[in-house]
Amino acid sequence: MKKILLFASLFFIIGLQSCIKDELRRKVTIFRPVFKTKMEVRNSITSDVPMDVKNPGKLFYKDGFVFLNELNKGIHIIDIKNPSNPTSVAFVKIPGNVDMAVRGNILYADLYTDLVAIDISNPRAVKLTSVNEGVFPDKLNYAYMADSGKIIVDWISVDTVLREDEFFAWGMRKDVMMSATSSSSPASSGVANGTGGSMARFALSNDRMYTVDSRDLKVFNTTIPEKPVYVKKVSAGGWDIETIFPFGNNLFIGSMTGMYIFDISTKDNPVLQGTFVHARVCDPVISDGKFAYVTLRNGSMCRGFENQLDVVDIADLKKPALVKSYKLTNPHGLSKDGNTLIICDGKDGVKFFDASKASDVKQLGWVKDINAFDVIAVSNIAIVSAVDALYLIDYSNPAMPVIKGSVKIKN
Amino acid sequence: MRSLFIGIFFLMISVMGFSQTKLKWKLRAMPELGLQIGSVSPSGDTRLNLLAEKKSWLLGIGGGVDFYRFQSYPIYLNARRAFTVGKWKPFAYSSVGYNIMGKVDQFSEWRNIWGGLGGPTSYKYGGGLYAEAGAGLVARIKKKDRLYFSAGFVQKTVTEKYDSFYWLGFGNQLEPVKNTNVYSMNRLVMRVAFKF
Repeated sequence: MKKILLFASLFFIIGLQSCIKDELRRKVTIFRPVFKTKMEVRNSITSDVPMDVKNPGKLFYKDGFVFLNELNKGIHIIDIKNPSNPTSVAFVKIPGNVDMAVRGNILYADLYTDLVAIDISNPRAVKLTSVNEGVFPDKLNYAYMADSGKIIVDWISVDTVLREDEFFAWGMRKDVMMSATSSSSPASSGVANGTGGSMARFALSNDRMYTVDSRDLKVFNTTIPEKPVYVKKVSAGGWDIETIFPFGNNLFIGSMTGMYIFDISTKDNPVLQGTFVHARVCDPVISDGKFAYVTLRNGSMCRGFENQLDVVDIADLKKPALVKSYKLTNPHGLSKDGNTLIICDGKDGVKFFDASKASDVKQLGWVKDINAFDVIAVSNIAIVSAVDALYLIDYSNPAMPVIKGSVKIKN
Repeated sequence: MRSLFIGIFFLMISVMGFSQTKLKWKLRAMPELGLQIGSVSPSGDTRLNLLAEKKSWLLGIGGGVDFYRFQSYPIYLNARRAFTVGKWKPFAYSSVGYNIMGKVDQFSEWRNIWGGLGGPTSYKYGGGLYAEAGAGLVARIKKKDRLYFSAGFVQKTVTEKYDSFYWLGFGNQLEPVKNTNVYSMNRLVMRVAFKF
């Protein structure tokens, strides 16, 4: 009996040895790419029926229309001529699209690594005019290498269970990616450029378009708007570039560690003039020619511990000097119209300031209860992208801003 | 798993109910100490069972503190039966129940030790299955008091839910996703229990 019990115990312990490993099972959603040929994708760049806004990105304004990026899917065209009743008129499918700019009747947009030019003279019937292939190599999808003639146009979600070590979580916070809008500037040759916000990576100045990626500043000649021509690239000054804003003969480039000012008097040869260094944070930047307004915010990607507005004197472009810092909650995009400075302060809403004195910027009005990311100020209407909607806010009286209309986001 | 709990529960209730029609049940208490051997360094637990005894059956409920990897509080239904094999008194037992999460900061620390999952935002934690089965020998101390020596297999589970983003290949191509991690800690356990 003793032997039986002994053998039984040994068998029991040895048998269970393989079962005493701790386990982690991840119930996750993965995505599989859906491919189309380049020709199929280019042929599908037309005004499609309007669709719900689900995951908005940057926005641009031109002649009563807002062009709102649906992240990596395309662009919504929204008629806001009547701010009380904004209406989606079309959706243009542009896979991999994040940035855009509008010059005259031509919309420039990135399509993964390509730059496409689209005639939007009739927003309800847009058409592709040209393609610059491979000008944004940073946007090559290294994770899903396919036949070079094919493009990812959609993703199919699949729920699955993975064992430990088979999956790596690429976790990022939503507020990092929900920023929006781009920038613009004076026109030339009788062709008007559109207006964008402070978080853009495409910027128009006269008959050139400037784009930034994390390191480089690229120049495109848009003298013939429907056929932009890649000119050259120069170092953008840093390796963590975020935004670009044109004003006069200068480009203001925001990075996580500072603001870089480029002189573009010689259109095709941007030259670094000065740098304003700050702590590592996210920092959209705009300028009115005399001062640069930089919002600094912390966050998981931005890191840092600052949430403030820095007003920087740029009288001497080679030596930008801080005038004053103003505490804010979690500032994102900003815009300036005359003396009115508008700042999206994250969950704290949209704030309207009197910026007639750089050393004494005073808050006038406040639209609370919206989580705002970026703004374009056009003729007393602030076009604000927020978590739940695109808002149109009348700031004729900056002390009492009023929401006139909105386009809801359907998550 | 829920149906398993319900099945076991009703099985035990029916066994107890059937038996009560014939014989009287007597209440017993049974504190236990356990030494656990798993993927990490040995740990321990302590449990207290409240059992009804009739003949060779002990059925009841229990609760305890489990210190393996992090502190948690299992509550469970317990059943054990003794046999007679010559002069030996072997027994088999099982526990099935729910493992209640301990403090979250303990768990976070443990989670980092486990896999170093940095990044995503807020986590929500929940309990999970608690199950144990094993066998051993009974030693008589006094008239009704007994010592139980056993070895078994015990599993406790916790769930972790969080929102994150799935990266689609480059830049900011991110899709929001909901994730659930199910951690199962499987261990050998050696116990000594005292019934009085």
